[in-house]
Amino acid sequence: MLAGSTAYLLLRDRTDARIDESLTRSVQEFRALAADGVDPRTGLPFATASDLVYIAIQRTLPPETAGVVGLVAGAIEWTAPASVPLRPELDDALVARLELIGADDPVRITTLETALTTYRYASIPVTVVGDPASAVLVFVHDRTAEHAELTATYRTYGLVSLASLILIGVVGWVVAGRLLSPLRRLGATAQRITDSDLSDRIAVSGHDDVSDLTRTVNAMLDRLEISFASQRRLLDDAGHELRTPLTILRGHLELLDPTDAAEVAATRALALDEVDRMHRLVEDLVTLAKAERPDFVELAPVDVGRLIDDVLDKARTLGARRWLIDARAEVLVELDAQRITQALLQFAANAVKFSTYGAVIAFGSAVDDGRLLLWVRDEGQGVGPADAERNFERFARGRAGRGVEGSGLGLPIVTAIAEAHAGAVHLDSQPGHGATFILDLPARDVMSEPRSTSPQTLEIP
Amino acid sequence: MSHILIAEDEERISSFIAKGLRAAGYTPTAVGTGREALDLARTGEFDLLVLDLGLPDQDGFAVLTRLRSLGVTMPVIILTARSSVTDTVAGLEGGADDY
Repeated sequence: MLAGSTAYLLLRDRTDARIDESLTRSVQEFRALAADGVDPRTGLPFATASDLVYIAIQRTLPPETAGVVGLVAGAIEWTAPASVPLRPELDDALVARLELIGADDPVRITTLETALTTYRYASIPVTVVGDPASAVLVFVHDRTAEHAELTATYRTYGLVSLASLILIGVVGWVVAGRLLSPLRRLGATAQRITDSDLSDRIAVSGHDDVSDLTRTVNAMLDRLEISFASQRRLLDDAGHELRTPLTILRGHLELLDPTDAAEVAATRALALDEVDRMHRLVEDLVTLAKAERPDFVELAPVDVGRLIDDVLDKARTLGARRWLIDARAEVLVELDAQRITQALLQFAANAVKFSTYGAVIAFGSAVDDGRLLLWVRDEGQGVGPADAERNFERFARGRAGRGVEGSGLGLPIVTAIAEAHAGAVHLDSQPGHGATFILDLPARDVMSEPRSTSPQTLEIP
Repeated sequence: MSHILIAEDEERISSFIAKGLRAAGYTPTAVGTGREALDLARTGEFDLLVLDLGLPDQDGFAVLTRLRSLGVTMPVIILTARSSVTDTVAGLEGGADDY
């Protein structure tokens, strides 16, 4: 549109220049005729200015949008042949102006705008020696008519441009609407989804960028839903588990006979024990809740051999068992020493819980195919396949009947620790043949090759 | 003297329930598994069963359903920390007399 307007203005200027050129040429031709000074009809010099103008008009063949007129003594005397379409003599406003031109005025090219049109004309006052009547020869161009053709061309151009713009706009609107409709649906679904109902998903159609985005958002919603559901389940479980000690406290306090000193003492001990249990439960819940955070484990190079020794020292306080080391991998691995210690002690505590005085409990570590394996092995009653799965569920006490202490969160916490190290927990057990709990971790950034691994079992006195 | 059977795996809970019932003049007997609860309930020696849902060997609902299918019509009260509406409805529809 801008290019069209610029071209139009340029061509308009050129049209004006062409009119002036044509007028100038007409003036020059007339000058040549006047200089010759011979009336072709008589062969003698022109007698009157009127004759000269007449001959000039006869010789002029104006272009389509031009005309010519001759005035003698301030009035229209000669007009162009009938074949010339532009008739200046019919425009009174133009004639009135032309009648004012005097004999002494210079040859001039002028623009005049009348009610009918805009003229560009060259006026040539003519006098002949010996003729008192002066004449004026006027070459006239209809500027408006000459511009009109150009205007018509560019009006067509403008209309085509406008139509194209509208067409492109409509097509663009429809196409953009079709492209954006999945985004709108995505937005609408996102608005529908609240944290109480994360089940809605956006329908995926096609294989373009938008459907890829939709799939990504759906996958994000899947993760959110799982995360929310697990949080809610944790809260439900925690509420249920806290109710039991609270019920015990309330029941025993309600039925307590304050005057019976022995019963008061017994109830006090029971109450303190239950409060401890709640305390442990809350601590474990806080640990599990923290496991969702990125700073749950802080990795640093750890000497695995020494770590196993340290854990064994701490484990010995758990109970009178035969504490052994199966194997020691002498490597440096990026681990969170505190969390790994916590996990191994949890295994050891479980082993103590389900074994008797003097039973074998062994720690071990090994590097195998880029994996660091840390394990605790016992020779107790073992775990059946059904219980093995239940062991890792929250608050499920697989082998535990009544009377075995524990929050029910031990193995879930170990699992969280392993997962925070991008590892996993395995249980290798057959009923009656003991159980081995294994932490299977990636041995990332092993800074030294295994120096030595002692395959034989060392007995620690 | 009414005999009341208590099926509850948490010994510290069954102990105070038994104590309270004794104080009220009943004769309570506490068991810790669904198996024992079923065996004792079928003897017909008990006038009421106080049933926990979270038993270690089988669900309290399973005990209740089995009991009713055996034609035992003794009154059953479900005593549990599980307080959701669905559990309550399931318990009462399963033939419990109170929840």
